Amino acid sequence: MPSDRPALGLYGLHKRFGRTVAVDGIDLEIPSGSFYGLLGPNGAGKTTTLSMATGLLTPDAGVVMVNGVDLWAHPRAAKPMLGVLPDGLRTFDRLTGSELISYAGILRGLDPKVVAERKDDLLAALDLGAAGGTLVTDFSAGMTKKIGLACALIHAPSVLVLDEPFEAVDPVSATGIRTILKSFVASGGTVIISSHVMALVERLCDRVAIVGAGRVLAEGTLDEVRGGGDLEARFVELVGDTSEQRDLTWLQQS
Amino acid sequence: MVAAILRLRWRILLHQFQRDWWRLLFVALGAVWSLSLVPLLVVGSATLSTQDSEIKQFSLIAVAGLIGIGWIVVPLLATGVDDSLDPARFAPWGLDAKRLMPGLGVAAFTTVPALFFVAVAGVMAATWRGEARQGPVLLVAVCGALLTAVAWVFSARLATLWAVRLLATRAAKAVISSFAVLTVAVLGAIVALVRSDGIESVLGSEVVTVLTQWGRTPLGAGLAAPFSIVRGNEPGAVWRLAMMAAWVVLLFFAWRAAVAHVLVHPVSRGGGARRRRDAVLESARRSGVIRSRLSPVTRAVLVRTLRSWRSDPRYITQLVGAVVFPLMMGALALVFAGDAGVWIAALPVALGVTIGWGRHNDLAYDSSGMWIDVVSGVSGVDILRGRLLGVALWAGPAVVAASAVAASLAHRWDVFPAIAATSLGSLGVALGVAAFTSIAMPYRVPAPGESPFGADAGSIGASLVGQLVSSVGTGALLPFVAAPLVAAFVWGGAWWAVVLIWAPLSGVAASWLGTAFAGKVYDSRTGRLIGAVS
Repeated sequence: MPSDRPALGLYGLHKRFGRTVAVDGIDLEIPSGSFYGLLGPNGAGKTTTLSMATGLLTPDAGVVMVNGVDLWAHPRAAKPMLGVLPDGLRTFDRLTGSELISYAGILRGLDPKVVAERKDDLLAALDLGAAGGTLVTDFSAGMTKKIGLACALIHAPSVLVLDEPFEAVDPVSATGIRTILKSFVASGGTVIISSHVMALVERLCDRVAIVGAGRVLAEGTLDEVRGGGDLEARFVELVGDTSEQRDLTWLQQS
Repeated sequence: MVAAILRLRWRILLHQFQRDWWRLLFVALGAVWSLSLVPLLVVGSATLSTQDSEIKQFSLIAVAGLIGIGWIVVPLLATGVDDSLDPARFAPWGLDAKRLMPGLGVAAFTTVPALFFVAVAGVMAATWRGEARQGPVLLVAVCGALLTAVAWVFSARLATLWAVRLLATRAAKAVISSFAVLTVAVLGAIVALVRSDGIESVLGSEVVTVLTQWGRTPLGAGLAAPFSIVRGNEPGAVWRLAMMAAWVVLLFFAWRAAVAHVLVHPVSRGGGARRRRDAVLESARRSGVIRSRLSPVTRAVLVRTLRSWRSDPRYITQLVGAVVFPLMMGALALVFAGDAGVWIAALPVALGVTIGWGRHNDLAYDSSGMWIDVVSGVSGVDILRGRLLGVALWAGPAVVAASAVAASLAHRWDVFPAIAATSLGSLGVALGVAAFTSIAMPYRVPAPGESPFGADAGSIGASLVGQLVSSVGTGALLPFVAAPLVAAFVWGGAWWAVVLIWAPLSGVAASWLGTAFAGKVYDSRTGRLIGAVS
């Protein structure tokens, strides 16, 4: 059953890289049992925010609470509750897909017997059965994404933080992943995804936040953020300005 | 296209210098160091120019040959080579090798080492002054020296591209092993020859023969050509220069072919290998006295670390580098110092140090999937001990084997246990120090699938700091391990027994404490480590 405590709470997060302010005071409370979408243009600070929210990047300031536990103060207590799929990071590519899932399971403290059972389930559910014996280095981008998702799921966390989980994934596999995630949320779990694909977010998420220039520009239920229109129009209204779009006449073929 | 590629190179450098001013400092230091060698070279050249022309010829051929071998071997064994103009980076732009090559060819001469060695070649040519028929001799010397310098630079680029291609294949291990065996056999033969005939006899006969033959190959023909003119053998000079010119052209076309291959063949990193066994799970299931003392995390990390040492080209090149340098030093020591016990003992001890010291940036090489370790919230000590054991399991037997070779060469099997114990101790100390520096001062290295011989140009300063601290730390602790061995050689008696107990114990303690301390640092820095190495 979803609890009253936010599954993930971000309070006053800041991060600066040299002169660039990547995250400029983000406050978000993601309710337990929600399917949450984090939207934003390129360079908005989504990945930086999610990295700080999952223990991958130290914030300059701010607090991250996972089910009421301070992630940076008590990582040993908070991290087991999180399942994480980062974007743009490589993996231990000299292991096979099967070994990588086992590795993630062992690191999460699971018994080898449990790891073996769950690994087989995950390989089948994510359509990776044939790839289990292949080195990850030989995987396509979509397969790498799916094996990363399997690693995030192996310990049955209560909160899943997935950065661009559908990127490069084929439509058939994407359908399978959507089913898994919806079922996870229906059972009381919380999913946070970042994405650029508005249709996907509208289809999956019940709450969204739009971030731009490292700040939260809009947050709430899908309907609250859409404000009666469609999400894409609202997104462009908040973060984009196409009025000065140049007309590339030289690109026209006739 | 030449101008565009040169501009690109300068632009990349400029941006790097603007972002991190200290990079310029290191380039300037490199240039100053190179310039500081010039007076030495000029004095050497002036001294040599007054010698007999035959001595002059053999000296120049020997130097040119060694530099030529260095240009091929150093980029392969030492990482940190500027890869800003790696041809693979041009692949998305749809340019063919023919258009790229003139630019890459010219750009290859814009690095500090290339400029320095072109100057060295010029100084070597000037050594031929003072001969009769000064004009023709110097003309041939300059042409020969410049062709030789061009061959050095081209051969380095070609060797690196071929090595990258080789390492991506399944035949890599067989070829590397063959080279290693060949190197050991050649070094062994040289040592055996010197020990049986004496260094003076070898210098007077075999070395002269080898240098004469080198003078007929592209390794030394450019520097041998002026001697032919001095001796009135013009055809000898002509064919040598013609051969050098042909060699340069051949290298250029081979390089072009290698670039053309790189442009359309992204590195196939796994070679299509498949495995049925899940080694991680099998290791977790196995029981045993030693295994049960290791945490499951350490065992899992150990499995993947051993896999990296067996199959990741970046690890394999480091392994070869760590083993080859002490072997070469040992061979030199044996050639020039004979079989004095202390030199023999230094070889395996040095091997232990170089292998351990080489792990000073272990975290970066092992960082490709570090996010899994970090998000899992596991203890840094468990991770680091898995990696430590992954090295110790092959390096321990390697230094013991080297100790056996050393004892055998010295005909002193009585000192074998002490040398092996000290070597293991030095390995442990160096690994302990490296465990700390790899966490405290990591720097970027080529990612999996990139050229294992390259380096992010931005990492050069950081790498120097990491290497310096690692060297100082290892240097400071090593005497505590090695002192009893020295005492045993000097005073004998009970010291031999002290070595057997003290050296391995101190090595195990240093590595275990080093990883424990580094593990604490790891835990406190997890949120910064990924950014530092990726």
